[in-house]
Amino acid sequence: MSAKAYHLNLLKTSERVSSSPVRIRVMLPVLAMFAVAGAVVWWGSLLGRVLIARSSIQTLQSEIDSRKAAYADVMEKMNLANELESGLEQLEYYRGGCRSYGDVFTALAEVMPLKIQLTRLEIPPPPPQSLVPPGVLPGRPYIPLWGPTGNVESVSLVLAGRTPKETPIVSLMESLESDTFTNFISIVKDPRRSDQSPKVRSIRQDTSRRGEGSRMLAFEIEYRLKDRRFAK
Amino acid sequence: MKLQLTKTKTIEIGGGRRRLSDVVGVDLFSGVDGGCPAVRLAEKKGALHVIAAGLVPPPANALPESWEQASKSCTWSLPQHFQSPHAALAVSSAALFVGQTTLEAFKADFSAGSHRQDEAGGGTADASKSKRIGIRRTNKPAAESAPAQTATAAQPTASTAAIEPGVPISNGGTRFVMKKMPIDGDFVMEATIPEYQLLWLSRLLPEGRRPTAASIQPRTSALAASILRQSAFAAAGGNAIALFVEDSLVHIAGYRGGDLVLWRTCRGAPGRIGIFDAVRKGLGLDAEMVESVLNDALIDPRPVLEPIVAPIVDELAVSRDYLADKLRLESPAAFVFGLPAGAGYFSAIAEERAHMKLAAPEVFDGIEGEAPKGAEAVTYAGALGAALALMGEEADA
Repeated sequence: MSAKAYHLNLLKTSERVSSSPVRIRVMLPVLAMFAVAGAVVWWGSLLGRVLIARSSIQTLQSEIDSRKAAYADVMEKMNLANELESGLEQLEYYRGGCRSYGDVFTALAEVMPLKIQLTRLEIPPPPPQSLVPPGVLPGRPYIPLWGPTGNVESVSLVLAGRTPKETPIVSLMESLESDTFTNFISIVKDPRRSDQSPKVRSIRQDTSRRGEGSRMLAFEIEYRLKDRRFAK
Repeated sequence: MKLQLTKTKTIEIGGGRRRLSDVVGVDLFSGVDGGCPAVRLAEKKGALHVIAAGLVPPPANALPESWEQASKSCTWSLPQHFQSPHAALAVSSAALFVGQTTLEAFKADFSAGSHRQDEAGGGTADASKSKRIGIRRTNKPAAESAPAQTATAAQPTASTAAIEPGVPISNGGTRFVMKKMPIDGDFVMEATIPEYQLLWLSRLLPEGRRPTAASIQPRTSALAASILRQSAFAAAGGNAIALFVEDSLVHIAGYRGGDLVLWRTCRGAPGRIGIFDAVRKGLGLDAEMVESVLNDALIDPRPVLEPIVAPIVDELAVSRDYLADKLRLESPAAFVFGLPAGAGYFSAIAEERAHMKLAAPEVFDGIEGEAPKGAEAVTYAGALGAALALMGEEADA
């Protein structure tokens, strides 16, 4: 039921007050003041920290400036040390890659048959290493690498000479397959492999009519020696 | 939620009012011996309960009668069991006016910036200004009694365009409020009070302490609201005609569907004090004996009562006919309120003269809880009505 007609309220809305002891019109400025004070304190502490940070930045900057020359000197020396170390390391690699063939030649002299006249005993320079970047398909254009990336170098020994007949050559090859040369010469008899050793490059009749070596067999055999590894 | 930012600025957050479920109604300056009747009502699970009812010590000062007296503000506090968040003050004052009038008449009075005194306040009749119903009126500009420094403010300056139903407005040192009645025509219920009295009352219950005033209303209109929870009233569908007997006035109210559609004050009717005085003098009784005589059947007071009650009953019959003819309100329930004794004789005389039976239900009928009963309860009607009017208003808002 409506009570509107009987409720003749003479009190204006603006005159109605709250019975709550918490008065917004009092609490609002108080809370606002607290908020402002808190903000001021916070900003103050922030400003203080910024000032401290700035002064420490300046101190550190001046310290850095004063140490720049010494730092550059240290860096230069460190670079030099690095350079020397890398040079030393390179030399170490070379030392690791050193091969002495004196023993081979001594042993070779002992097993060399009398009927063979060695005309050439050569350790040829190693074949150039591949500068093709890994993963490039054959026939496709590529940018070659700046230098070899491998530290292994294959070494071969070429024996060339003359002999009146075949037997001394066979005897020599058998001698070279003996245990004496195991540590020096690799023996791979499979002709399909690229690293086949020994590989008879040539064996032919010497066709010169005159001279000491006429009517003799000239041969050239290549043996693959153990790889030269540039490592410590 | 209302936030009061300053003394004069209030903002409302959340839109709309919240229902008031705990209200104390206080009947101020109604002349009850021993204090001011107060009733605290609370709504629990849809039912109204009386939390406390009793007489509370009155304010230290009397209601001011001039601007000078109003400047001496006084604060007041209620006993703890009456300290609800909100208070509805029902005020009795000779300078207060309540009545049914027309919007045109209200605007004319508002433009003049004058307030009308109730019949209890006396004054000369002036019916020339506008049409009104059964109300004798007095023009008494408040500017006359306002102090010199407030003379400018007391001049009637406000425009009638600012008048809105239910919104109090000040003009010429008088506070006005009106509400439209739900009937054909421009009929309104109007109340006016001198601004100084209203300001003094608004400062009576200070901010920050329970309770604070949410409503200041005339006691007369609060009486009209006291019927709202009556079970007989509800059973009649809110269609009723009621006689409200005050100390010195008698009012007739008509209700249709629970809405107030008629309000008139019986001219020349003496009120409860006059009626009881007549019985006392006519039967040669002591003042204390009057109520018991009116309750008992040993002495028949009707020969003394009839000359006084008959004109009231006749006016009640006229009002009933008006309700039937104009508002098509046939056979409404009839009640009489405000009589601690003798309601039965009222009903008998009404039955004889107008074929109406007047029921006199308990004031607190329809409300749960321990409440005063019988003759004692009559004094709490104003306080109860004020609380009910405020709670009902907030519920409808």
